[in-house]
Amino acid sequence: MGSLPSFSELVHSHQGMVFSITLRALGNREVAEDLTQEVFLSLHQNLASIESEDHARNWLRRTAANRSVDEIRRLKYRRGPSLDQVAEPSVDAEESDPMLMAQLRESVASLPPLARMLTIMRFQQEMEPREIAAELDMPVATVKSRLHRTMKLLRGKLEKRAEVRKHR
Amino acid sequence: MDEREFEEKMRAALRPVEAPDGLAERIIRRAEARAERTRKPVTQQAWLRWGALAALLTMGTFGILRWEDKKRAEQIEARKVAEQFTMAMSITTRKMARIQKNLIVEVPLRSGL
Amino acid sequence: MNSKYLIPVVFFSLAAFAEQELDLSFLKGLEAKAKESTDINLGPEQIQLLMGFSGEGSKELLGLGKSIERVQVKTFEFDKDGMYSVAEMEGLRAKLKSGDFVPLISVKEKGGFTEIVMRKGPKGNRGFVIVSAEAREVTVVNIVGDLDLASLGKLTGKFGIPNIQMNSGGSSKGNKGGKKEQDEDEK
Repeated sequence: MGSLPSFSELVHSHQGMVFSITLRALGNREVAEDLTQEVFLSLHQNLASIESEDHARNWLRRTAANRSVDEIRRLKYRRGPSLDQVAEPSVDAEESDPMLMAQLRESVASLPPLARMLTIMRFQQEMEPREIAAELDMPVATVKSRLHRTMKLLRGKLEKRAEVRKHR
Repeated sequence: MDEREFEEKMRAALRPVEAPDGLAERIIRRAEARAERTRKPVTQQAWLRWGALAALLTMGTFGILRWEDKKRAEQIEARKVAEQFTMAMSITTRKMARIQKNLIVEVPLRSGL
Repeated sequence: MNSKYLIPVVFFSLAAFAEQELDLSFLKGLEAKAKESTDINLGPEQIQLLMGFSGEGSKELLGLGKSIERVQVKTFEFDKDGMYSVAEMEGLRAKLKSGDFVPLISVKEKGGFTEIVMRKGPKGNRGFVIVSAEAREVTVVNIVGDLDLASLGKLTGKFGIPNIQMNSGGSSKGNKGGKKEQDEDEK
């Protein structure tokens, strides 16, 4: 488990993780940063109850996820932002198909809040359905089922767009 | 695109990003400022003022905060139930439609029959 | 009321209430074999929580939830045939042919069956049960309350519930318009 790092160390270690979750969930850098700050400020207030680095990481991830879902519902970011609002860094070497990447992100951004968060937890945070279920306090079967349906939906959307592009 | 390839593309699309420059410093500054506010020495007059207000407001404020916390928690729970309820209705409707389609002789879906 | 009758009445009511939840624990073994499964069990307490929901779309959901006391849905999808035995479902099937259940549809097919039964209540129907055992899918739906099958048709196209035509008048064809699945966000 190890000893608990300082708050400052926790911020530096996990700011990327929290920001990534909130950014992909909300699709807007300003709002994502605000929410990231709020999550860490909550951590600061609850530091006494944090037992280890692992505990802190899990706490941050769970809080970021739940707060993002609440924020999406509050702000009704159902349709997702326009792509300009997400100031992605310039194309890096890993993106062999930036158009496809943008389409996938847009599709994820248009998902309902919970489906969006499940997708982010699975494919960004690389969590197994059991871990996601524990973090979001949901039945494992529901997580699996929702992920399956969401993937089917996203693939369908992608295939439809590919068809449309082909026929233009 | 097969399932594995699709999942790899999803991972690539949703890959973690770098936090904005200076974010950590902004967070730490805010946390320290907040901590500072709670530690700041208060003048005697201010203490008396706060003391009087605290006596009046403690029960009410605490009650309101707890009520707000409780309401918020209830809404979160209600949303979870709503999600599950909707999913249940979705599964049921889809199943009914499939059963209906597969029947050779169509039976009207009216209750009481 | 004379108190000596009160206790038996209370016990009877509790028993009757408890009876409305189907014991589906015998299906536990299927979860490990299934590639996908769903397990939803919303009892009166959760339905009560639903009544407090004030998010988007709450009006229609609440309208429906008002008539419902319990929702149980269990589904299992398998990768291939033969992952479970239909005989495992016969116990439930037999239970649905007795007591308060009135058969509505009963279809036996190769390798499976489908049963839809209505639950009788003192003032009419008190919900329905669907049990479907197919080669690669098992579904059990138990809804207790004043919801009938036709009411489900009113929900289609909303909240991510598929926009499927459920014929309630006996037309000559099956589904019209196909199974167009609508996501909550797609309008």
